[in-house]
Amino acid sequence: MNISVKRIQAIFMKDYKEFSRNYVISSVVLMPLVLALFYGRVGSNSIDMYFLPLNITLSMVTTYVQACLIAEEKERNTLRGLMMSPASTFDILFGKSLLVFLMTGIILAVSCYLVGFAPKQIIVIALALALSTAFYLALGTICGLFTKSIMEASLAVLPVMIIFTFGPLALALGEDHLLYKIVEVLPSTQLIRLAELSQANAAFTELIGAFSIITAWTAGAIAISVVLFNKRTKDL
Amino acid sequence: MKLTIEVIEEFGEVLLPAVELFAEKPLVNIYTDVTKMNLLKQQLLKMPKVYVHAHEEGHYERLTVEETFQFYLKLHNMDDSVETLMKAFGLEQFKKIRVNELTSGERQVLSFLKAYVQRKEAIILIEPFQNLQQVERKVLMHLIIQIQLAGKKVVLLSNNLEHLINSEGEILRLDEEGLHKMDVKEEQQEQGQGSIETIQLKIEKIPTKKNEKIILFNPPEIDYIESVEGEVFVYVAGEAYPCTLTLSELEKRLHHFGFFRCHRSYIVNLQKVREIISWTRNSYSLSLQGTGKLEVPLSRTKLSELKEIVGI
Repeated sequence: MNISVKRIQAIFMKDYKEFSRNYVISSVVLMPLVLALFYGRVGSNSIDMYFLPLNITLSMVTTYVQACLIAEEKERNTLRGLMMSPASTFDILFGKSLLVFLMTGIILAVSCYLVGFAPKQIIVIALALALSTAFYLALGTICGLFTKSIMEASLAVLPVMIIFTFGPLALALGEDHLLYKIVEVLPSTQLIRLAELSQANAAFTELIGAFSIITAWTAGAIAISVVLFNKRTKDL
Repeated sequence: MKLTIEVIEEFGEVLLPAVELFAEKPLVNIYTDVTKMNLLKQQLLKMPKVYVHAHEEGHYERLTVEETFQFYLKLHNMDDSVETLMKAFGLEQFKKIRVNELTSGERQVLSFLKAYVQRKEAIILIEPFQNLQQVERKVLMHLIIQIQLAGKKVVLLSNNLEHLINSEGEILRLDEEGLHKMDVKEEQQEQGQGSIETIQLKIEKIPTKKNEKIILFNPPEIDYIESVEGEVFVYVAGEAYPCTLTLSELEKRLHHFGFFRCHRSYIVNLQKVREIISWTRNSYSLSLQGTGKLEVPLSRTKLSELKEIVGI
């Protein structure tokens, strides 16, 4: 596999220009910020409440925008042009993800500030959020590859949002409920757990459990998206 | 390099013959119908060394023309100057304009950029000139020559003979039996030599006229000839080509090639006749092979003559 910085940069710049001129999709970015402002004003102070806007950002912005970017390429028949170019799968997926990754990072940081969440171990939280972002990016890629148009992609993102963003809310059902056990292994739940432990100044060894679960989800999702993408390349 | 196309059959009927596209020459034009073109395209799409350029290619609508050029050049690691290339595409006056504001012809020229930057051995262009204006066609023709100069083979596919005639290089006709060479000569040349001379030389080719060009057919290629209201049409693989000669002139010329005047307004190539169908005692027709549904009427008076020739 040959990695070319020039090609990644070309894809990144192209997506940046397209995205910034597409107001329908780029305005979505503002939504989580408004929510974060709202939650911040309401005066929530539990980690659960802090992380609700963050998790919404991950599904609404990261997954949705990534899915739309890929679905739009398919809708307009430009994905084939990319696949036929000397750019490798890594070049294409990385170039496309880079834009959304950076954007997510900025929004997450601003959201944290607006909602009033001050992480005590900033590196741990940043690492966990970066891993989660990669997971949601891969999910977005999968959604985009499965659908044919932006319309379909926005629908396909809905289940992702319901399961991963609002899943942690099911924890309120109590430990005996069946849903509790399922929801507990979700990366979004683990992200909240990790943040709770981290805010309580836990040692790194205590965090390994949550980290490994998030990493496993991320690795799995990335693997599936790469396999799907390669399959698409072949049956052109 | 050689592109092997496999045969495609359906219900015992050959839809696409097995052919080998020898891209020995830098530019090959293939004239065929839409069905064969689509079947051919499906096979060519699977070949790794080939880039197929067709109409459904899309654009990044929100990029400007200049940004589109920059993107594809970078993506394909080409060092060409964006400015010169835009000039070559005749799009430099639109460089700050977004792609979604271009006309369909301009978009089509722009999408040719994708074929231009490819580094495959062969570039297949499907109907590249369709719906284009004269100026845009010239631009495309010029670009095709540039692609050849870069050492790549170009195959043009079209079901419009006029488009292929305007391009350079040899023209091949693809039908159920395979590829056939088409002799195309410039009309001006023909007139210079004088058509009387041609007849005196007894050239065994049948001249037909299509789109201001004269196309010469070998007699065995012809299925049958029909005269409709004084106009003579030569039928080759289901396609009609107007011919300036009269039926009786043609009959004289084609007699020793096994052609037969089977009706007042029909001459048929007996080599291609598969069946003599008698509808009633007084009405007959000849069914031609290969093309399937083609039938040519046979007059009753000619039946006995035909029987004699065939030896029934």
